[in-house]
Amino acid sequence: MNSIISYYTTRFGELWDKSLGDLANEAFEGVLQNAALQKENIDAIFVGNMLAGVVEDRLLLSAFLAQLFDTNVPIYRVEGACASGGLAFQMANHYLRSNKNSTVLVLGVEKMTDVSGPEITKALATAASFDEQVAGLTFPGVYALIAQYYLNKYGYTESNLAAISVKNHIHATYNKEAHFRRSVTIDNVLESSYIAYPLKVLDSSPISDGAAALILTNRSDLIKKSKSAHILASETATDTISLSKREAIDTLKATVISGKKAFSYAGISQKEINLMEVHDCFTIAEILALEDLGFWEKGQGGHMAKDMVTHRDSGNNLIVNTSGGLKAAGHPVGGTGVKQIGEVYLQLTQQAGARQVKQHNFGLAHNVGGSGGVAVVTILGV
Amino acid sequence: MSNPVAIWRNKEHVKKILNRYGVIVSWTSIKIAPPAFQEEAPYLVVLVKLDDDEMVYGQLSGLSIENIFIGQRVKSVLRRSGKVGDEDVINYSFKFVPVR
Repeated sequence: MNSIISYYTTRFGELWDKSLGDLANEAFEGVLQNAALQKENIDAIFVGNMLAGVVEDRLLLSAFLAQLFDTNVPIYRVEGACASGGLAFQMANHYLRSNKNSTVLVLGVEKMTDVSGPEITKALATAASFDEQVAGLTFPGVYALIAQYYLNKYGYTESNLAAISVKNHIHATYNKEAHFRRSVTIDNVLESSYIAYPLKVLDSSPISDGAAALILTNRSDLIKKSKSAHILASETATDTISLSKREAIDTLKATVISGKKAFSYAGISQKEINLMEVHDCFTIAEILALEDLGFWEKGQGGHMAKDMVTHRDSGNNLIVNTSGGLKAAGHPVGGTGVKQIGEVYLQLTQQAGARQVKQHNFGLAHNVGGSGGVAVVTILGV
Repeated sequence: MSNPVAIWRNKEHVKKILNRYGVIVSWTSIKIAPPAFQEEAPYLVVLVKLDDDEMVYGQLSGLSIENIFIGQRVKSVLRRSGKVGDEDVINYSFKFVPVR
């Protein structure tokens, strides 16, 4: 069975002294070192990256990284906006299904802070549809439309959303690689300035630099000698790029489909998942994720969020975003999907240090691209 | 969108949406805007369900964050859109205005 045997992440944050290459190289060397492997043991590399072509005028990442890593193995660059990392992992898993006795490296990397706020806003908006861009909608703006619709339909307020941010910031205080290692209050969130009404600065994941890497293998000798987690499923689905063309405003169909496929492939149910990293690019997104993955009834998420039922200290059997999520751990877009799976791997193999939650057998990672045009759901087990 | 050809191509879509009625399904006020719209921020963007059930986005004039609401009836009208780019082409698109 395909398994993860190693993980490494750089710090996430405004890393002005690190270039895209520096971040990629640190993650590449770190994950090999953690696995006690050499680069000669790697048969292929899958790279998740969204923005290098837009903000750095840098494409053909495969050759750029081949030079950096001094290798000639196949390198596949995968782009799925904020789901680039998860999608790279999903493709690496498929590669291993087709190639016996192989070991591959998955790298997610993004350099975002070399350009101004309006420039990165424009770059991220390339993952919005043409009609969204022409209307002056930003990426937060599209999620704001979803949030406004959801709050109005189910009778919630902005404080229901704010609770997600508070919980994830607390979780990030235990994560030394997180972009923000400080807690915030509901009032802090509500008093932060609006980006796109009703979403505020503290409802939103930050602009982060960072890289994360995993090593996947189906070689039984490597699996036996490593702290390993099995890949029970990694499934993806797509939907319209424009929110306006979807069947429902408050459901991400790509999440629903990829989640159902992943649970079916893994042969387990939601009740058996005790640990998840979900895509909380904005607070509303974590609520939708729990609903669309089948953990909460549609429309109940606002209540559940306010009660912080997935907090690490809740005593409940489902803890969400132990890393701090995108919101507080940071969101280097290509790196996020890899970090999410890495966090679940660390937790399941009891390597999460200060943020370790109690021992569990199954964990899930959920990564979304655009406003729901792509989703990847991965289930790991030990 | 500053490319004159892309603006010209988009006119067919703009023509189809002009002078149509619908209701606001959701709305937002964009405060942090992309470069082409920075001078207009904050501005309202609405998701509108037209009377034939087609869903479209557009900016909204004539209401503010204090009096806009989901369910408000609106009509599409021709308006200037975004700032004039390097090509000196003025982009006209549709915006929505409230219908009393």
